[in-house]
Amino acid sequence: MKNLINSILILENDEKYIVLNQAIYKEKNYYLVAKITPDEQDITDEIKIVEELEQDGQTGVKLVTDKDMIELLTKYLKPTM
Amino acid sequence: MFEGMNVEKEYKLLKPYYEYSQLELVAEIWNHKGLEDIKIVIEHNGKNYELSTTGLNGVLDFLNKYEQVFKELGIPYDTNLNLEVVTDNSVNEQVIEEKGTNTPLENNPSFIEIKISDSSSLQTYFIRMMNKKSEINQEVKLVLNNMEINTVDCNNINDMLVKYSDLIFKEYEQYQTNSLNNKSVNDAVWLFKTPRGNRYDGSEENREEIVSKISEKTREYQLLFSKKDQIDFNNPNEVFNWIVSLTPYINNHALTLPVGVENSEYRSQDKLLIAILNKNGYTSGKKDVHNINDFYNQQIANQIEQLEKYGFFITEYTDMKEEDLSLTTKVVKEEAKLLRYKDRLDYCENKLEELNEYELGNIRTKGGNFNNQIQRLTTEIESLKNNKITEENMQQFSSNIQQVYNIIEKAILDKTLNENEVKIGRAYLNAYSLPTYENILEAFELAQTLSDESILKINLIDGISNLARRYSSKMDEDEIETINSKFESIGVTLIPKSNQDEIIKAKEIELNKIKTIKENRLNNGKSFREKIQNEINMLSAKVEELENKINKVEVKEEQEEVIEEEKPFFENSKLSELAEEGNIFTDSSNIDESHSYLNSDNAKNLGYINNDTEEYSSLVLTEEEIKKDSLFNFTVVKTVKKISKNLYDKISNSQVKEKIQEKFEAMKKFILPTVAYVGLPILAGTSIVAASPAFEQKEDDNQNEKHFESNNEIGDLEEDIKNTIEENNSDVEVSFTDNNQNQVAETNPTFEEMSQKVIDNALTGESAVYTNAVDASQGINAVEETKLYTPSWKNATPSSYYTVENQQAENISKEEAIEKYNNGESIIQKVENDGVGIGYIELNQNESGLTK
Repeated sequence: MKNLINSILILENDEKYIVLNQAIYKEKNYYLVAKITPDEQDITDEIKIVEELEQDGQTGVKLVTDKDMIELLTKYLKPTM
Repeated sequence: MFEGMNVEKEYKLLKPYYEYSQLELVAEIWNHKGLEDIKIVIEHNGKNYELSTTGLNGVLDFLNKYEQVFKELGIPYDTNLNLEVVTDNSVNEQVIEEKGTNTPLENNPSFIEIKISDSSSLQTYFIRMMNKKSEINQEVKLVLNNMEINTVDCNNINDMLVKYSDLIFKEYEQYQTNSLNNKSVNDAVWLFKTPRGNRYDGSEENREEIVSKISEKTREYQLLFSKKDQIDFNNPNEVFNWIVSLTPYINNHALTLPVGVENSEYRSQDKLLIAILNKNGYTSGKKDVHNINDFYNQQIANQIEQLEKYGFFITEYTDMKEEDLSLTTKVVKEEAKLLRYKDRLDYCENKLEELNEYELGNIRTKGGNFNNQIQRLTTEIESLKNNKITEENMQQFSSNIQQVYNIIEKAILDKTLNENEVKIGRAYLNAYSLPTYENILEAFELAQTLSDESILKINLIDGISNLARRYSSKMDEDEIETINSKFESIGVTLIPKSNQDEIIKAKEIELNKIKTIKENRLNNGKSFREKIQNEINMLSAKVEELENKINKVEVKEEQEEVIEEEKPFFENSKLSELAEEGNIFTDSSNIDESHSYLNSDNAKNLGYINNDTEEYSSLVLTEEEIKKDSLFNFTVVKTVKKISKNLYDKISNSQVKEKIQEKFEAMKKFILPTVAYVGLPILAGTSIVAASPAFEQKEDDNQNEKHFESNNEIGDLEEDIKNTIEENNSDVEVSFTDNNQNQVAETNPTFEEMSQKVIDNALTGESAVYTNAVDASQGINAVEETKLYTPSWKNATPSSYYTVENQQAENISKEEAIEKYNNGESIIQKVENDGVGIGYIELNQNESGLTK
């Protein structure tokens, strides 16, 4: 698993996110991400916690919606800049 | 294992292959590889290139094996010289710091890490590292493009050079070129980089500048080249440095060495250098590197290989002019290559033109112009054959002599000649009557005094030359020689009768020889032409490819600009709705309070915040709202790329940090269904970490409510909340791996359970990790704020156990460790990942190793 802190994720829907922090829990990657502008020059105020998943051989992310998981992760996934 | 049984998994690169350097590519592949071999498939120019890790021992093997493929794909070895790289390094440094203990520590020596803040040569880094090592008596490492370089097993700079020879030799020329005198290089580079046609702008000043630069550089070149006579060719270091000193000149096709003994006109200077090196035992190819001489031998081999393949040294983007750095690094690199190819193309085309001229016979060679020589010899042979003493020739000579006699006699009788002409005419008549050597010579010399336009002279010369031919057999060799030297101007050559055939034969042999040389050279020229034509074709293709690549990058950049203009800033569905309602601004790309939908003022205005409680009670997203989030469903990650320096600087700004922190806190409240009515939404966040009865109802849909119900049952709600918060702020027991953690925590875990738990917690940053057993026993020098990201702990296994007394670690068996543990003593456990030590942790029933 790769350290993606300070990396930019460019998604299929053309949204771009910067990874502010990363956690591994039960062999799964979780990222605290902030949406950035299309020109990658500025950060917006959309902050989310997403998990990394594999589907049909493709790597992607999905919003974490499980409340317990969010509780757990927000304790550790503080922004690291 | 049988070869066929090895199943490789295909790995998809995170970005297009041409955006990688070799080092970046191999770093990504090795990061991903793990224990299983993988392969990547790259499509380039309609051809599939497969690069696999199978059977390779490490990244250097990989780099070596696919060196040619990288060249074909145009993937540069490294990119650590330009501005962007400085950015990357700063980001990498940040990451290194954050990663803390993640970097594998070989044999677990205590390392200190040097960071890169400039772009000096690798050798300089090695010197610094070795100096540091001897200064602090500790191993030193640095991370360069995700590759670790360390001082382990090295006692001096030479050990470092040998240890990292594979890594170095590819980069070495670049650094060396860079370290040459800047002005000297710049001038040479200017000549080299500027295509011939563009160098001259028509002005006298410019012409003088060009001439002066070229002559200055040529002198330097000659001087440096002539040092070959002073260097010891048995010392590869000296030879290597000599070649390095020639690099900017060899690469500059405007400069040539004067024609000398070794520099034949048919051998270009790159070929000349190869010939000299080959002659002294240096060849291209992979060498075994065991010592410093081998190391330089490998450098030289690499240089020869470049000369053989390209005719110049690959040093692109090391000597770029400053103004070019404003372009993107990628384009700069491609353009640097492009310029080199174009200049080489220019050179080859000129050579081809020269060849055409040569084939047309317009170029004078050392042996003279072949066409002229052939023409001269053919005439001579013809003349010799004409002069040959044969019966037929004799009759012709006699007839001509008689005709001239009649003409002269008649002219004298007719008195058409003046006194002087009569005198000259009579000399001919005299020679006709008595054809001795003296009389013939006298008649000739008198005739020569007449004007060239004189009809009399034409007739006399004709008659005298035939007289000489007719009676040459009666002359001795000296007389013939004198006649020949006098008659040379009129194209008459007398041959002594005895060897006239031999002379003609010798001339014919000479003619044939020259014809053969001409033919051979033309054939060689054809093969040279073919080579040049092939090179021109190759270079044209390269130029076209690079131009396309550069255009593509430029088009891509333009497209990205267009996209930026077209795309709405906010795409979040909730925001879009709000925007449609006219309640939110949507047109800024900057972080601005006025655009924050989590901003308390906006939230209040929009009715999301209870004005009385100042809490985000109504900001809690409903299930429906969460579903509208753009990332609610699985979304494929197309690309992962490094953050730009610009953005990195922005997010590092303290104000922005504060804002992100604020949004983060708001997000927790915003997303989590909080008990806002009590005014302390964080409560929900604390409930899970407490070992409370609420945990037993974790699976319940209404767990939070039930939790608080449970707490209510226990006693006073506010008191309970306060306790919970306090507990949250202090060290709290957390296990990420055991759903029954509350039970585990209540009983004494077994040695194995505790061991596993501590390792698991190291993965999440809950256990402190130390770099040696003594530190672990004393709880000092722990890596502060160990981060959650510690992938090396994922597959970690205990490898050995220690007790520590008087700051001395003593290795003990596992059985002893278990016994001590069960007796309530602290023991230290060394942990490895795949055979590599990654840290030391303490196991203790009381402290339980679960808290820091």
